[in-house]
Amino acid sequence: MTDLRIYEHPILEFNRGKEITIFLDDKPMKAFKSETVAAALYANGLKEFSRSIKYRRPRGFFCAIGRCSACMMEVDGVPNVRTCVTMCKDGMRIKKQKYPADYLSPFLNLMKLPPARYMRLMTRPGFIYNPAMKVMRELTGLGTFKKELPEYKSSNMGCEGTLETEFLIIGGGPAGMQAAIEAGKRGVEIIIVDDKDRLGGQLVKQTHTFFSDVKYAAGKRGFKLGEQMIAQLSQLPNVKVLTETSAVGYYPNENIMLMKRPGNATLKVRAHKYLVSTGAYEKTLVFENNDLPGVYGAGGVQTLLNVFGIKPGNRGILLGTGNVALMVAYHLIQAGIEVAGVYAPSFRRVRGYFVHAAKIQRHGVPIITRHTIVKALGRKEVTGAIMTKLNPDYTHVKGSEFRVDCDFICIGVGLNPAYDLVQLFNPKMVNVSALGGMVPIRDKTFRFTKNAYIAGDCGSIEEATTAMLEGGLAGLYATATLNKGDESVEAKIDEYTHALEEDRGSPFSTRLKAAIKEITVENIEEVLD
Amino acid sequence: MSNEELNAMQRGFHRKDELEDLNVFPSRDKLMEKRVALIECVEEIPCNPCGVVCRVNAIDKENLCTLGKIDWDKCTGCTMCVAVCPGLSIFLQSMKNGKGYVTMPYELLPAPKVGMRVRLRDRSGKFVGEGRIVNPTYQARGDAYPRWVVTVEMDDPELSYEVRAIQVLEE
Amino acid sequence: MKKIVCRCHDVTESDIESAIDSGYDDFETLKRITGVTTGHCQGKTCMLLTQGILSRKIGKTVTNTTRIRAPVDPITLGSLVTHKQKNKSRVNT
Repeated sequence: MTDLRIYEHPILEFNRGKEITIFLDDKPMKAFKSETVAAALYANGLKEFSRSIKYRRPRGFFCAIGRCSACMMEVDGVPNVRTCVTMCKDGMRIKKQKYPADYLSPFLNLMKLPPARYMRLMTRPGFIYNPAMKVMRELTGLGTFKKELPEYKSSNMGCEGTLETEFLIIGGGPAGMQAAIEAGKRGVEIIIVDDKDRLGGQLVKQTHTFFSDVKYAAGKRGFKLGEQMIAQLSQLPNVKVLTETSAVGYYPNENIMLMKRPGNATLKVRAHKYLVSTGAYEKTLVFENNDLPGVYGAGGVQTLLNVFGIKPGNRGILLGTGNVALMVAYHLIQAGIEVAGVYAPSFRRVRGYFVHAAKIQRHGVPIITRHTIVKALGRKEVTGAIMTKLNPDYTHVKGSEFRVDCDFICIGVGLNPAYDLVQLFNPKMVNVSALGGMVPIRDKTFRFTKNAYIAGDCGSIEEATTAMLEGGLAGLYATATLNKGDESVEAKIDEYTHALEEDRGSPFSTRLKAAIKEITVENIEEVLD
Repeated sequence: MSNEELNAMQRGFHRKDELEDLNVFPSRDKLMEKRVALIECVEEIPCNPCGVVCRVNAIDKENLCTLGKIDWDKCTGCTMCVAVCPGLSIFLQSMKNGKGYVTMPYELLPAPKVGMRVRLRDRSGKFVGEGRIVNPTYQARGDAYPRWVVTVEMDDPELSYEVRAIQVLEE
Repeated sequence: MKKIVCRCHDVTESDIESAIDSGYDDFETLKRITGVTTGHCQGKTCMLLTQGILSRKIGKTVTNTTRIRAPVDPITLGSLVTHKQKNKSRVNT
């Protein structure tokens, strides 16, 4: 029986909870109450979770936090469930979703099917149309309805009603939590939501110790910092925490935020002030065969390793030399997994902090710059990668390709701010590469519309420590506009603003500081219509 | 392009001569006399635990981002900075009694125990010899728990300039 | 071998490039003809990649995304059904 779980780790203790059984296609699998379905299935050796719509390509999980669609399976009769954010329950029945014509997969992969013009093909003569459309539907994954519709009413189904509150915080990472702490301490009625089963955001999977100032987070391990903040929040009775709740829509005319709730339900929330601290999405790369099971985002590997204690494979490579990729290489070393190399096309230098690079090099993990990946090898899962050397103009050096044996490829090429929920507020968006991507213009009090604040990676890609400080500031400013503050608000604002400036005092942050200054205005209401 | 032609920032690790140029090492006399700390962190990043934790104020950090400078006369070799550095880039070194000693932070398995034999690695990960774990070796308490602080003894004192990681040889 | 850009709809890099060559060189029409960013993840994996490919092909940096509409994550129709409860929330608060 394959069991890829880690039972001994130098930093973490995995308290997995009660052992339960779940069924994959009627085969019993060992699982634990604290695991998500995807993690439990992966620990049992499942690599292929689904097949893609058109070419029936095998797909494994990719992001592991509910942002892509690769892990969708049928759970207890409900189709298209994101298994990477669904918790295991004893006796759960999981089935792989089969699209019609799965048997055609090897043939389909050799073809180049044109996008989305099928309905105009073969419409004449009339007798061809019906059978032709039947074949087309099978090929393009539009599928057929099952004869019996699945029974998936849950006791919680439907809209749960409307909640009113003073301050709604969307995103329970360091930014959101610090805002809730600062505003909650001063009596503001708060609802803080997060789409995972617990608050903490990315902190829950960060086992390394943080930099920055000892006064805030330096020297603390990320997950410990998260636990401390959650404990502080539980002391505040005016802060309500809703987990497994994700914000899916905002309707400015009615001032309603629509949330998705577990058990096939939604919830409407209306607040005086909002804070959007939803973090960031992982960037990915395009190369041949880049969707094979085994190609993972660096964040996904971090989740698998540090939250669930499951090995992604035995030997892997990393693409990218930013802080995330270097950190994940170190996590892999700590879990006893061989890292064949960290590759990046950079010419100037290793992109992340030098100390991160140094600490993996001394454990024998080579960092190879001026190289990039050409293709991932393997039919159903990754068995290797073809790398190539680069010329200074980023073209491939002819004849320099070589093969690296590995069973997972980890892409750590950066983050971009979560631009979607923010745009529903009708802000003014700009595309700033120094901050990671699309961000809204904001004013000095962190507002990006009249009643909405932004903090953390959602506004600019930085660190957890700056997210904490920005979130704290946004919470304090919101408290002031809600007339709930006392004399301590101004002093705290000064303290955090000064700390934020100090944190951005290194040469690493020069471009970022300039970019933030450019997109920060005096008063947001003057900029918006 | 071989690693020789790349600079440290492109390679991801330093050579000994590059660190000498940056004045990371104390004088040889100092290393023969006592065990002292050296900081191999050469980039200005916002970080101050080393300056805060030193009990004898031997580490001078002007502000949050400046590099720490060690006063080797004041340093007592107490290992607090080694335990607390988030970048795992502070080490103790000494060449007393004709042997080499390096104290390093350690966060891997198996858990290190005094007396174990280890393989020694330099900054590039190359194996350069074998050594033995000696005292002071302990598990640091505080926010960075569970981090080990491990002291390794090697027969060739010159190796203490190179050795920055170990691989425990299974019993 | 295929280089997949939109994982939800299996749109390859060459699909996008040939659509741009056929004249669909603005983000909104490109989205409608190829299907990028319209799948389950609503562009979380492919929006920036498509921006980059479009920028490269038309020679001008594309700085916007396609129009974002609620819901930004898939929800079921059943979850929107409102029960007859006068503004009282069933959530334990």
